Amino acid sequence: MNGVEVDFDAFAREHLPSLVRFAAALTGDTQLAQDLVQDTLVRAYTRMSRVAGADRPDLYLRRMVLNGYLSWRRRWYQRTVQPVADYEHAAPHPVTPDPAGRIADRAELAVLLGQLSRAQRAAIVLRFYEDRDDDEIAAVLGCATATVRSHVSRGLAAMRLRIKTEKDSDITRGEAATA
Amino acid sequence: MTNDTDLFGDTDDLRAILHSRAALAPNPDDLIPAVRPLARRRRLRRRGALFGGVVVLTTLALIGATMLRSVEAPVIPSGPPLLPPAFPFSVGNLPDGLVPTGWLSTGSDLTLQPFDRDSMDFTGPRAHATVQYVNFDPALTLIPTSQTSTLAAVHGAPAVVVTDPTGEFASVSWPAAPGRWFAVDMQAQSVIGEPAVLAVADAVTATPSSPPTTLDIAHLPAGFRAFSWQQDKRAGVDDDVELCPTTMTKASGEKSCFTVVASNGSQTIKRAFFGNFTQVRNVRRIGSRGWAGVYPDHPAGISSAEIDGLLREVSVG
Repeated sequence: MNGVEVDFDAFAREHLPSLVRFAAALTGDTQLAQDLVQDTLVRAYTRMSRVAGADRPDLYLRRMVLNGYLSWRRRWYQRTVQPVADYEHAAPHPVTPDPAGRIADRAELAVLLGQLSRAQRAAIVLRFYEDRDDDEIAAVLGCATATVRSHVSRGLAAMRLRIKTEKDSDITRGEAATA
Repeated sequence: MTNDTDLFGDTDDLRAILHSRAALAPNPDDLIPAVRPLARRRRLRRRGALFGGVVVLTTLALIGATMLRSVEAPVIPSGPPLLPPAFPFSVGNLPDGLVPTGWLSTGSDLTLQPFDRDSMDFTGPRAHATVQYVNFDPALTLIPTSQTSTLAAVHGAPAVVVTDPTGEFASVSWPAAPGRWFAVDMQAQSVIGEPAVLAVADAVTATPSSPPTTLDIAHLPAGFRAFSWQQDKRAGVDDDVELCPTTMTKASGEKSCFTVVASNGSQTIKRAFFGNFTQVRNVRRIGSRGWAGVYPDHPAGISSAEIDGLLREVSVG
């Protein structure tokens, strides 16, 4: 094993855990996340000096994952709907006074997340999963920070509007049933 | 960072969902061992592409053998032809060198995707613009943080213009029909402002149009139809059309769809086909310059024989 390979293994072990979680949060799909990260790793291996020498290798790797995601699976991800069960088992947050309603809301949110534009979705994952600031997200997305704010704002607003619309529909149906 | 809590209320649920999705991550230890063999394979391909050597000939021979085998596969498609997408609007000549670079069409009854129903993309040397025809009011969904909104008129209709303080993003939306709106988004690396986005909006009319396509499918598989279709020259892909069962619902259809991807001589898609996106299946040459392949949403959703049968119905040009 040569020096480059030793460096690559150390580099990969350092960055992979968070990178696979980022890819999974972005795609919601284990197999797709694996494909994207595997492809990124191969590319990183063949240009190791450039990746490892970047000012922020973590952002560089995320941009590689994101580019693969945006350029190839552009259509599929927008239609992806995750089953509720995934979130019942995996949600790590505290129990609420109305856990059943909470889980339903989260399942609904997951569907709405899958309906956002790819850029909005990526920006939201970077903001709310990785807690990146505007500059970091802009570096990953390759856009201006103003655009980052726009993506986040539009994405959140679109989900909020959809939730409101569906709740209004539920109320209307409930009133009709009562009448 | 902006105050996103004000926009969304409580973002704890959103964070919880994202953490839940992250729990689906593959095991990192499974990925490292495959890197070196894949990198070697990629180097071989690149070397072959550069020097036209034995590797290319071997690969072509293997592809030829695969195609010969596919001829024996049963022909599944027996439905109607793929109909070209129809947009309820047209876009005339645009300023600032903006030229068409892509479009997206989704079925009007695609309940899983309520947003961005139909859109056209235009790219110029200084800016990128997207014209959308949507079934929600963009002026309500865009909640400005630091952005400002003003009122204007487009073709005599009341319009809402939203601009970012940097001037690098501007958007305008106006009603197109009951329950339908037009929206134009523009982004640039320099100041564009309200007049630029209004100039694009002025070029949008309610005259129906069909975007240019390079993909044709003579017979769709029986019981399937196109749920979305898009073209993105910037991504190097000419067309990809998503075929789903006509009976697809939120609960049942997710694993039954597949995407036919086609390119008319694009090197990018050829690299992608033969790269590490191994889930693209049954890539084949179509005509003299075209390429097409199928990307199933689920590996078990369509058999190799069915893919071959479908690809025999495909023409690219």
